[in-house]
Amino acid sequence: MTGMQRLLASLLLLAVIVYLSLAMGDVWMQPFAKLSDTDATILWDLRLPRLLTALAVGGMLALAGAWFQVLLGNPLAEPYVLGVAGSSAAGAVLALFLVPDSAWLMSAGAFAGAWLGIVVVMFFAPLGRGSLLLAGVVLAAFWSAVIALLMALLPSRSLVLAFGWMLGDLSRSPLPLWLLWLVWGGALAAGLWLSRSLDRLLLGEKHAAALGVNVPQLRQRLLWLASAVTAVAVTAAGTIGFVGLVVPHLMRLLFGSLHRPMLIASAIGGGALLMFADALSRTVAAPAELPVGVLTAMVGVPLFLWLLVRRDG
Amino acid sequence: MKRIIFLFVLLLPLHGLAAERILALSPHACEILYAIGAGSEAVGAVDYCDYPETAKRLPRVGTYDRIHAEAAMALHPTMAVALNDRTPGIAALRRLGVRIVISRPETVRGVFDDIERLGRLTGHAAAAAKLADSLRGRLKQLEADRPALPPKVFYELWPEPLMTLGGKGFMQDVLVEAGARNVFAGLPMENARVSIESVMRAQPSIIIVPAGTRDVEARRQFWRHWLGDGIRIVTVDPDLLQRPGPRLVDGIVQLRRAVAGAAK
Repeated sequence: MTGMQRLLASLLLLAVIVYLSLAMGDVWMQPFAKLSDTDATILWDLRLPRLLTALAVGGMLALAGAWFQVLLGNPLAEPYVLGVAGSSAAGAVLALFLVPDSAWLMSAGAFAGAWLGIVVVMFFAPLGRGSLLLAGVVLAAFWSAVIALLMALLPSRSLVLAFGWMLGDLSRSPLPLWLLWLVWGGALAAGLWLSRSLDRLLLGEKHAAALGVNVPQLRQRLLWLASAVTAVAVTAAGTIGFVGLVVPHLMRLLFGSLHRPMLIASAIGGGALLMFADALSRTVAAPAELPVGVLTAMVGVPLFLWLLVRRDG
Repeated sequence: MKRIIFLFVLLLPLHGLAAERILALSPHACEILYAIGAGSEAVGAVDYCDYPETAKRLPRVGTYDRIHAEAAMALHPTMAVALNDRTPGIAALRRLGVRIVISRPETVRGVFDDIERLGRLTGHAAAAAKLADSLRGRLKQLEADRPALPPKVFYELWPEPLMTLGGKGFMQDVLVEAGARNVFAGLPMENARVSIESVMRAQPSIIIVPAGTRDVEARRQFWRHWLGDGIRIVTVDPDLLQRPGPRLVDGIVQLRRAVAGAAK
């Protein structure tokens, strides 16, 4: 297939996934049939906003993952690798510890925590790639310890709220939809603007510098960008694993490593995966809902492994 | 003479052995002990053991799902009434010779049985039997005039993430006794996370909101938005209703009255 054909096929697949995600749920609904008032409310006021949130959050996570992978030169990097998710969760749990039942304050705590995590990571930005990664992993461990400490002290009734958030929940984003889409779109635009430098960075930092890339500046920008986008995604929907790790790899397998096509595909593909996983999460055990993070892995892992084997096999 | 005093001092601790020294390791166990007259033997409790008023003065040894064994042993307990055998800390207490009694009623009637059982174990059998019988009588009366067609209710166990009661467990039985039909009784679990969509589809006529820390007015607005102005909001005191203790029947009566009033 040529690149154009692949793009068209992907867009078609996206349309199918959007349609399925709208139709799936407690009850199967035909989005374009004539609907009762209740069904119309369910479709347009409940399913659609949630779907649009998932699209933006999944896209942001995949973009951030792609950036961290090239920034750290490590295929295992993902949006939470430098501890931003951990600090965010610590902030959320701390807020719950101070005011036990406020979901709103928990989100504010998550956002503040994410930025605290970013600021701490920035101190280590001038280090080499390997050291930065190590610093991030150690910081993540530190935040885990903070979370464990606070969770042990938290009253049991607040644990429900904390766990719900940590497993990811797209149904109650505290951030308005337009803001999520703005960040998603802005992130993609910034990524495309940096894409040529990113391509050169793939060759290694020395080669990139030889090709005229201002490596320290690029790293600084990437780190800020990826962290900020992660902070917004985590605040909106909690910590949803896997999307940010696997979608960029998936898109590299499908579209190659050049960043222009790969970033566009990741921004959309991450959204599509999360959207579909979320639709499944409210369908498979309906009317009970499963944590979306469970479904992202269950959908994504087989798909990824299949592509990996097909490429190398 | 000296020898006699020495012997007396030596035997002094035995004086305390006559009565049990009991740890009430769940809020409902605490309430039951006081209700059957074993309150004076209670030496320690866990968080949220707040009824009756005097129970608040008991030293705390953890939460219902985590017992601090050292703090508990410092109170020299002889018996502990716990919610679950697997609760962290319980194994240590057992190893150190504390008698562990599990109380985790699965039905409303199970609560009365547990009251009697705890009465027998603590030497307050008569008072416990009297209390259990009176509670049984009140429940029977309630069952006699149960509505033929109970209204459909949604129990908002937790607002965010939205959680409710499934068909398994103690609370389902409580709802039945209160003359309410849980719209999610078909779910094979004790509690479940559900979507607003499922609640809309299930079409409850009444939303039960356990009051306490929740902003009831905000919840009313929320449910009116999704279910229309016709939806009724009923509040209950979770301390009465969700604790399998001596005040449970009061909670059931309260809920029955509220649901019947809202269904009119």
